[in-house]
Amino acid sequence: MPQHHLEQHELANGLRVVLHENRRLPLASLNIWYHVGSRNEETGRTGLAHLFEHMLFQGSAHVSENGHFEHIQSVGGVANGSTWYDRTNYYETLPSNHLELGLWLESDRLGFLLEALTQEKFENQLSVVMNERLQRVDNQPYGQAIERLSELLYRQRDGRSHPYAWPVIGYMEDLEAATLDGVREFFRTWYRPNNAVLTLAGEFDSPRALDQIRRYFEDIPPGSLPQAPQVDGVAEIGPRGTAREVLEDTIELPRSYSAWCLDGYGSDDWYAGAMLATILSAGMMSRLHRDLVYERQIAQSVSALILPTELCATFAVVATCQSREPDALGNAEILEQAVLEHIEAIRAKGPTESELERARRILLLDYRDSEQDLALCADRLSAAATFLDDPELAWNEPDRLVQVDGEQIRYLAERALGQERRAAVVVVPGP
Amino acid sequence: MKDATAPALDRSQPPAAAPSRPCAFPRFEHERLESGVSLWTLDVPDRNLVTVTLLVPGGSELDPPHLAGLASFTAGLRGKGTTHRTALEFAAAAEDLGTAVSASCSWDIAGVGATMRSEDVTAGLELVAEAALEPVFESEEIERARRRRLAEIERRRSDPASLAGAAFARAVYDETPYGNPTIGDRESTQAITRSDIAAFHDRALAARSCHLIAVGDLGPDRLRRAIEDRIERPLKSHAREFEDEPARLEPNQPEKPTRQVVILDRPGAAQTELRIGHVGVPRRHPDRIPIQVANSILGGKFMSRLNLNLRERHGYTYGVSSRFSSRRGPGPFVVGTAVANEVAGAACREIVAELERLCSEPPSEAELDDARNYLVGVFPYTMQTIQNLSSRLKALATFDLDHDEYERWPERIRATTREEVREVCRRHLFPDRLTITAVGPASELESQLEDL
Repeated sequence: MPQHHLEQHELANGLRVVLHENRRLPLASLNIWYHVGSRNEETGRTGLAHLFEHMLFQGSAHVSENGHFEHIQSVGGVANGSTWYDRTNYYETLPSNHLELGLWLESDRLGFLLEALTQEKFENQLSVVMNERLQRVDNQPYGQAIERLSELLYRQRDGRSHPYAWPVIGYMEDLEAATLDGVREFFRTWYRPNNAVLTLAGEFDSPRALDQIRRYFEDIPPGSLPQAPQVDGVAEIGPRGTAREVLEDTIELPRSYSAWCLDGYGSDDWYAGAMLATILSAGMMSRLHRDLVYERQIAQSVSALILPTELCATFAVVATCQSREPDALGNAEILEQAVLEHIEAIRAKGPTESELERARRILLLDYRDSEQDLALCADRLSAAATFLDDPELAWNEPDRLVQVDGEQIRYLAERALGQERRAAVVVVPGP
Repeated sequence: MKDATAPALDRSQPPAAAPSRPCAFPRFEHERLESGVSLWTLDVPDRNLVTVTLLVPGGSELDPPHLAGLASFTAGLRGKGTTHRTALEFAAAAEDLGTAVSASCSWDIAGVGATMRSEDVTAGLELVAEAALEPVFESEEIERARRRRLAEIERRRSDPASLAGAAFARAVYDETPYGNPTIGDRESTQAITRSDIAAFHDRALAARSCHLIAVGDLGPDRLRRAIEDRIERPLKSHAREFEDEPARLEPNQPEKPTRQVVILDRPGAAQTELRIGHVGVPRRHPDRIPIQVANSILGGKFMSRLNLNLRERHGYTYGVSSRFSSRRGPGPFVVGTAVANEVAGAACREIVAELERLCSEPPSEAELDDARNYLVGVFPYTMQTIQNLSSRLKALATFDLDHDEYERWPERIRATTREEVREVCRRHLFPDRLTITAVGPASELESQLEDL
């Protein structure tokens, strides 16, 4: 079996199926992506997609309230789900002889959820989600910064919020206003087989697995899906002139965030952005790390990243000062300027060939390493099927990265990483 | 294309399992090299990757009381300048292989490791060995590291989870080594000198206490030649055992069982971090297996009693878990969670009640079955990567476990009985001796926690 073999099918109800056999261990990973996320919410009702994800673990017609995890854990399986701007995923890795258990559970909550939803479960999970927000955002050092940064970056020219402007977990006041009816409506609208990709990766027999998938899923009816949100093109998104704010927080080390908006996941610019992020901050020899952390010692840490989002993508540089003395805001601004000078240097001259080569090797090794994890493989296949319409493209990821050349990066930086398109947040120790 | 002959699908019951394929821990080799170094190898031929780790003695348990952080400070400098390369030259050599050579330091042992393409194993091993065995501890690199460590210590002062962990450790272990953070504190970090570091490292160069662990696509003899050049040659003159012993790791116990409540005030904090527990057992304790089963039931998996109670029943938290740490000495048993401020007292009471319940009555047969099946069933999942396998070998080396530990582990888990679970809970869980640490707004917490 070649390492990168896969099969794809589409069931009569529109469910797309990806099968990737890998028999290293007696394990099977089941991964299902629904093409819905926080971007499909409305202002004032944020957090619904994620709250809904929690409700999907609260039982369905044939599965008791805690039955999902109980069934999976009692056979040694590992399960979870996550919500993102563009998608919600659910996944379990099981001993391969229990694969059918996963199909039973996933099909039951897709086909037969509503009858098991109750107000009591809803209130319980709302409370869990509010605590999740407290833990991950409100009681987290720098927790508010990313939210504010996204708000600044994703204001549209007409004053509307772009759907990436609000946090996936939602605002607390919106969570407080969430209702069970809202959750039901969300399910009816988006949780349809024709809005999903089901991937299996691991030890199984493809024809047999496909038969089983048909048995469990094919009688679940499709639905008519709303149109994708209408949004501006990348050139129209983002501030005109730097949009920048200084926040105070209970922190010790000041930090600066800079963000820009690029073309979304799968585009040439996105891969150029991923290479640039690696060149800027992966490893001690990377531009920002070497200069700011190692040589000048003004940064404690620095990280450049690009988010894998579909409509467009946030490219961000986060740099934390090594000290708040003598002047916290002053230190943060020195660091912020130093980051911008490096961005300007890339805009003027691009990276060197040796930087590119090093970044390629880092990314290739990292990709090869990550292929060891079955659940991650399955997730990548679902991602490529959902965002790029072709799961095979998941295997091309390393090639796309390696093909990026220096001029492509320079030209991307010149077009997209200008001061006039930057959103920025600086966090300083509060009173 | 539905099979017309198939019976109608009955969704009311979970489907039966297919026959299972056994999955044992893969075979590995262990031998003592001429220098005294232990060599552990596990061949995983289909990855085109190798992960190599050289473990050297000198974990944070050995930090002298006034020099807390010495072990991890020393470890962190391995690779930051060697007899052959400056820190930057060293980093460039690693990154040219696409990798990073990273130094580690746990309570029990230190090490240097890297993952690389199998064709790069000679170059990778050279870097790992050079970092571990030939650091030069130049003062410029020491000062650079010192600044970063001081900044990290500052950062933790406003991180609720770090604060809670440190306050709990100090309350339970007092002045004994486990009572200090492995990074040390501001004073100790400023006090550590180059000669402290160099002396600590020199003592750790004891070949008979070093372990080289290589897992992955090892190839016929590439590795062997590299070992001869890079490990054996520099270590031949150090063929001795490591002899340092930590200060006493077991803290003094109060004569009468008593609970203590420690509140660390963070005015205005949005949530309260809780750490609740007491001194646990060493990794090599003979009760370790039933303890693992008991902890799985209590708080070791998502469907544990604690998570079902605090999260799924009461909605107090996003999650709660418990663990017995694996350390050479008696590391902590600790329950950790973050809860809304107004339910901190109620959450503590539920945690205490769950501990008492587990001590007073054995789990049901079904609950025990679930725990045993989970632990045994999840084993292959935890062996997917060469790094997973390498960690398992590191544990064998670090704690001097029997080499058939993983081979026998599933049957030992399966053999654990309800009575054994209750018995180990009685022996190792002490609801009346808990240290309850809360990090949050004291004004809201004091009244809630006062009669615990």
